[in-house]
Amino acid sequence: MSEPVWRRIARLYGPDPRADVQEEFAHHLEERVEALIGKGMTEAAAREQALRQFGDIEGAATVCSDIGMQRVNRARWSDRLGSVAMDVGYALKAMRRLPGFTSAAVVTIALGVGANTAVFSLLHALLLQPLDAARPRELVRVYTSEGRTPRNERDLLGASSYADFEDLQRSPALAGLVAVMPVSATVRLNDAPIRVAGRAVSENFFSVLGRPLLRGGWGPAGTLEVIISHSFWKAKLGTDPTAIGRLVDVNGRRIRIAGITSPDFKGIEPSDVAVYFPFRAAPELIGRDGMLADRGGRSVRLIGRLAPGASTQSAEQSFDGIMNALATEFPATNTGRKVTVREASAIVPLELLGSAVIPTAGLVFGATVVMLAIAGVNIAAVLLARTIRRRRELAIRLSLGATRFRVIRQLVTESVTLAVAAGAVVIVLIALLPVLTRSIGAPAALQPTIDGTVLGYALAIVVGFGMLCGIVPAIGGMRSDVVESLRGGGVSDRPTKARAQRALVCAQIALSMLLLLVSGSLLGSLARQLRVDPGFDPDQLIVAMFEDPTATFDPVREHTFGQLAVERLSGMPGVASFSMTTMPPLTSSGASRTIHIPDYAEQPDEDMSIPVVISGPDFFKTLGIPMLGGRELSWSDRDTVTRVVVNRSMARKYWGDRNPVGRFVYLDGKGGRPAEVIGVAGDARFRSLSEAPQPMYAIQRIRIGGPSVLIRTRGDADALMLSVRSAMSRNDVPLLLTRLRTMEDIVQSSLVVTRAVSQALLAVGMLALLLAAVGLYGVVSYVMAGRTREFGVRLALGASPRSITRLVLVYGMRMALIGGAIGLVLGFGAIRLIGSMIFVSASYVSSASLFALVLGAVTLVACAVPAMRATASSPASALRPDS
Amino acid sequence: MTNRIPDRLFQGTLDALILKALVGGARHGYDIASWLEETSGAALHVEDAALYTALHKMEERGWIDAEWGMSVKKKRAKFYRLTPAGRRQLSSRVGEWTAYVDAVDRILRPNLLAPGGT
Repeated sequence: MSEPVWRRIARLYGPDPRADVQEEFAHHLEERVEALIGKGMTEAAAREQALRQFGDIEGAATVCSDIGMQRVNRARWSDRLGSVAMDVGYALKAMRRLPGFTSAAVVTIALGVGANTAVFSLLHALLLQPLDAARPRELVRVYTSEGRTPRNERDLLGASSYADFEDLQRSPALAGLVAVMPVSATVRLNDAPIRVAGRAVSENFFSVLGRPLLRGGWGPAGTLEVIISHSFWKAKLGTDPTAIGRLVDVNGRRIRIAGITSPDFKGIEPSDVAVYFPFRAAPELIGRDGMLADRGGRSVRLIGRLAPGASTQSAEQSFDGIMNALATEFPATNTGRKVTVREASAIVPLELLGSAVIPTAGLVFGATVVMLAIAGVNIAAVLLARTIRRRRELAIRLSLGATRFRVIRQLVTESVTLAVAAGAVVIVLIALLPVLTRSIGAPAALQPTIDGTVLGYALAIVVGFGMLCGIVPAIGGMRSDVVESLRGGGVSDRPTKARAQRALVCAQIALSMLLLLVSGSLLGSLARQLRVDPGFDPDQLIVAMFEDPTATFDPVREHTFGQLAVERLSGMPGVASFSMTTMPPLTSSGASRTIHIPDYAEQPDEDMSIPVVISGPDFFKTLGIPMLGGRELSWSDRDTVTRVVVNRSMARKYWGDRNPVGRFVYLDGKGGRPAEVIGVAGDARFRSLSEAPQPMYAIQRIRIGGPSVLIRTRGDADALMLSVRSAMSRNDVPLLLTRLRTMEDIVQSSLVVTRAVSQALLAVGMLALLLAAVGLYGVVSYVMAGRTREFGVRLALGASPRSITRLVLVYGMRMALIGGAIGLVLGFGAIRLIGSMIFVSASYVSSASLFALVLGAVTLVACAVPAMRATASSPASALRPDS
Repeated sequence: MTNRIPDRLFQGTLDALILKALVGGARHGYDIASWLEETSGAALHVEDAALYTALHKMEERGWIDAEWGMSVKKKRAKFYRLTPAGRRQLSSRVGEWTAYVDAVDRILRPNLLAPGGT
């Protein structure tokens, strides 16, 4: 008989070489024994003879079954690899067959993943990249709490004083503690002064960070000298080899260059620091004597390196002891101060998180995620259509014993292969990224590094994306039952419903509408900000901003400066009027100052701190802000008394119907200096164009207005810039001219971020809508192709071509309507969210109706071709078999 | 058992002999062993262990194919058959063998091949 039953069963679990060899040998011995018995031997003798003749039967059995085992294992592996290779090969073949779809899909995925990865790499540089220092994990940020009783996290994470820093250095938990303080520096190399970011640092700064200097080093303690960054050395000194020892003019002092930082030190802050000063010489440089001894000071940031074995907790404990001792010794400044230690995990310190950088980056990141989702939906839709077309083939494969997993794997392999092809494009895009960021002048510390994390992220996105947009249509397409697919002729092969596909197209339309609406409302708010009446006249207005090179406030110097400005500008041809101020419009968030108004009944705890600007005479005249009542100081006034002009909102809020002119207010609150209100001016937008006018007042003085000069010109503002520059940057001017711009220019650049973000979103949104249109076209023509026979019958029965067209259009429009409606709701939510974050909420209705029209037009175009094809279906096609 | 050919001479040519045994069609292991004995007039005595090791190695090299089937006596047996690669292998082995025998003959028995020799 044939193989025993148990072996046949065992064989189901794969071949068994050992048993095969034993069976083969047994058969041989049996035959031999039989033959020998035939020659007249006894059975026992025959058996003995057969075995002897066989030789080393154990050895042969081992060799033979080993050979068999190896073969089986090899077969198993090549089977596995072979089937994957087969899937990939099949996928590549399918891609070649549809070159249009393939290249569109690859570009779509590449753009989506590329944009997403680019933003990720920025966030990565900001939030995930460790500090640029040796062994960055050991670094900690050390904070001193604000006030006596810190109420929240923010209060804990305050800056420290230099005197406290010197005491905190004693902590055994730290291997080193460095102090850093921003110092604004104006460096004059030849003639033109350059403003750069400077830092006063403790002398151990570079050694604790483990970033040795390229050349030079600090001189004797307390010497005023400067270490320059490698990029400053390269850009401004042309890598002059004799730079060390050279004298440069910084903030009006001649200072020796003591060293140059290492070329790979990018700094530990998100800005390019060009010059470092020794802390102990800083007071001289910035003109704040006694700063080092002042324990009340709060301008020094501390970074420490933990000693081996120490933790943030043990460091905090060791600081507690030091701070308690200081509190007893210096109760006036140190009572209640606590030191908090946090890991210095990223370049953006904790206390800065939540500033505008994060929401803006988050918005752009969100947009790229939406774009990626649209690309995914688009590809999933096409793959779904193909899966459904192949339903019969899949059903046959299933009924022939392919597992469901195996079939799904085949389908997923296709989309993953597509995504990986796009991944190759993404890598090229990513490689170009540093070139791009360098060209827009991002600080060195924020240059995206293309490291394992970023590449891993891109890879994960690509593969995950490929799997997702393969699995969904695979499962969706397979849900139909096998028997029906096998039995059905054209019926189940071409479902006229295509529910899953319609859902995908709706999702696409909704997502693209979301992007368009958000970009539209940003553009709308941009347009409104450009249109809005700022309250002042930005045309023919020059703003010249000056700074005291010593970064101190010296009334004598400012007075001299004011007199020089009056002297030179009043006679200058082309100047209509001019003034001086602390705050030109749209250049800073401004200051507030408490004021007491006797005419106004304050609430017990009402905040009477009101935005203020300090100005010289002719301020409102120069800005073109109308005086609604009273007057303002003019250059012909002679008395030196301080006067106040309030704006319309302030007059209305605090004086109501009464006229404030001639009334008195008290600066710095009750009991402060009295000042007479001499005029009411119109409202103007000083802080930003998007902000509604609010109460504000100007303190006007003849002598000292402020370090910025406003000049109203008679003709073109640009033409006068040169004369202003030469008049105001001569050596006898005690302040340095740092910026000279037209007001028009300031207005434009205040909108730069909004403009860039909204334009980027608009571009992405339009691309998304285009993709959605392609998807819509695909589904409509696919479904309508399935109804060719029905149209043929209808036409044969006398239906007009027009009614067929209408039918197709209604079909497409319905999807557009549903998707558009969902998009409107999503967009509304998104705009609410964004509006509360960075921008003013903007006109929603106008952009919504605009994009609804665009969507309608796009739908019409996408349906036009399928509609024409449908009306062309001849009655005869009804008779042709469906293929 | 007189005049047996020593095993060590035989080893290198065993593969060729087995391939030759399969030229007429598929045979199982015992069949090959008895064919070799009969055809060589019992002069060649192949050890069965060596035969099977050679068979499995040649199967691994792709010179022969194996398949389970029924023997004439209606028993389950593993049959070996030549593959095209095996056939090529055989003809090259035969060629080598003839050349070898010729060369050895020329040395050991020069008269035999000499023209006009008896």
